[in-house]
Amino acid sequence: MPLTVEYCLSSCETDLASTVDTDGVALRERRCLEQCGICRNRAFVLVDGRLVVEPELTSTLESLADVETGGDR
Amino acid sequence: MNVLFVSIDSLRRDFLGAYSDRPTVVDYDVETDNLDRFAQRATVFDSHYAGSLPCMPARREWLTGVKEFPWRPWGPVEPFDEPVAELARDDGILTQLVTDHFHYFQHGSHGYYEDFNGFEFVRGNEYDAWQTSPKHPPEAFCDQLLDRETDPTTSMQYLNRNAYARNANGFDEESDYFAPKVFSRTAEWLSENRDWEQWFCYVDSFDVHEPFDVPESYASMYTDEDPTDPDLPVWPYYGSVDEGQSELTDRQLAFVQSQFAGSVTMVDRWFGRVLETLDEDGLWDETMVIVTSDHGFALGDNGWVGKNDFTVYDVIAHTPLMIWHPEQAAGGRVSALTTAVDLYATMLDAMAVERPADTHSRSLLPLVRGTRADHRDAVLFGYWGSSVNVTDGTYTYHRPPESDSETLCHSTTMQNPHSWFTPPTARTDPDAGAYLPYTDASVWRYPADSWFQHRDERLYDTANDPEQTTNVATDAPETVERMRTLLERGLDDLDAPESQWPRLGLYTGGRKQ
Repeated sequence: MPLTVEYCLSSCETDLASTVDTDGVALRERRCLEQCGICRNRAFVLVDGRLVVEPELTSTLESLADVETGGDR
Repeated sequence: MNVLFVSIDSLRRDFLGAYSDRPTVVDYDVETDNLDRFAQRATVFDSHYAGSLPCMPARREWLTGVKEFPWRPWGPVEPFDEPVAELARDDGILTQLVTDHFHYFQHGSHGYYEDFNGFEFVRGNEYDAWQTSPKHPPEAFCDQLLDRETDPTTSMQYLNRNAYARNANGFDEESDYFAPKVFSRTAEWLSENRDWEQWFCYVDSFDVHEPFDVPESYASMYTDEDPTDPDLPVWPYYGSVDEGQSELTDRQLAFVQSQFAGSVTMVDRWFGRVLETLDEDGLWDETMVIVTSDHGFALGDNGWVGKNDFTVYDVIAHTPLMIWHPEQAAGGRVSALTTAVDLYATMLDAMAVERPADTHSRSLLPLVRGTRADHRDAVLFGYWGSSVNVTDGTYTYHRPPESDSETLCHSTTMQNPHSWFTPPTARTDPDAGAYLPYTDASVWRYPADSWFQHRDERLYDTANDPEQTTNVATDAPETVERMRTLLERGLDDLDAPESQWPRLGLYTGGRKQ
């Protein structure tokens, strides 16, 4: 099963989320993830339903992308 | 003529005996004796569709006659709107709102309750910013309501589900819950206000909207599970049932369905109090009664739970509508295609209040009285910024936005077009001007990203495939063309923003396809 990464239009820059747009990740762009309280204060994504925020957000997405590409990006 | 307008939020029509012997998604009957009893008396509309979605956009359609989604998302009553309550009270009619709908009091949706002579707000449902104690609500209850990681007990964030856990903490009797309060208070109000010559009473029950937190006997009525089991949610997240935040096991989904069903039956029983009052006080001969809902709620239908995030299937858009009018033809069924915005003109007509010109609403009274059989050829429905959908009553056609497109937002306020409940954000990029075809007033206009409920063009034969399991767009190009023409004509009739056409890929090189 691929990991599911969910983000909404306000929670995370599309360019950042798109780094994990690979075959091994189900990347889901949503209008709203019902997490407006978090969203208002900081960027976040949900990885298989688990909350990921900065400072881990960027590194988590990069590591997910690296796994899928074998680090060759 | 009085008007009693009852909205039951998120009420799926297939959970009502008047529309279906058994709901699509479960293998048991759901008790709706009182709504069925009302349907026996009323005119039942078989082809009634939502317009602008979800909650507050539907209410702007009902209460102001504006089909808003081509121009604007979830937002307030605008200064140029003419709400039913304002027009009625200016005509000497007593107006009353009874509701537990917290959205009226959140950021971004002001102006809906202020015009009523009286309003009662039953506190505590959903995210209502009401109780602040106990600081730590009961853990087992929280486990059924929220994710501790995204909704920490001690967080001050907006939309923290702990609000509901605190508000409902200590609920003991059935009468402590929301629908019982809303409908019993409505029944009392009807009896207490018999001396007024004419009234408009709007009852907006947030139930059966989630959270599906219901007392016994309803909690165990449709399940053998322990309804307090912390592994079983009563407030599912919207999305796919198969992945991510919204993933549910089969057991969890069955439980959510059972609690939704229990909520429907609870609402039905307390709605019965209102019917009893109408009987006892002899109000039927002087009162039009409308029962409807803003939208449905997916409970595993097509793999989804909730609304908003997926194709606007009929489970969301094909809504119940039943109208009792003392001068109705003979009750029975109306097959004509109708839509949410039509209730505005219907209510004003029933109260003999002069209707503003140039609204998007068409009165349903000729259908109720039996003086007409047809009403609309097609109905547009959808969410601002996403797909535009159209039905002719036989097919539904769903047209997604173009990739990387933007949608223009028009309002006198600076709304958050994608995050509706948080404080408005001051913008530096808007234009201002008289951009709306139905008013000379100036509004702000600014772009925001379009968003996707699906990426492909979709066509469903709802007459033969009511659950919309098969997209026949590829197999039926002539029907696609006909439905797309209906969609274009619908946008033309509304004088929708020119930008909607390229956004939806309806223009190529400046010409219509």
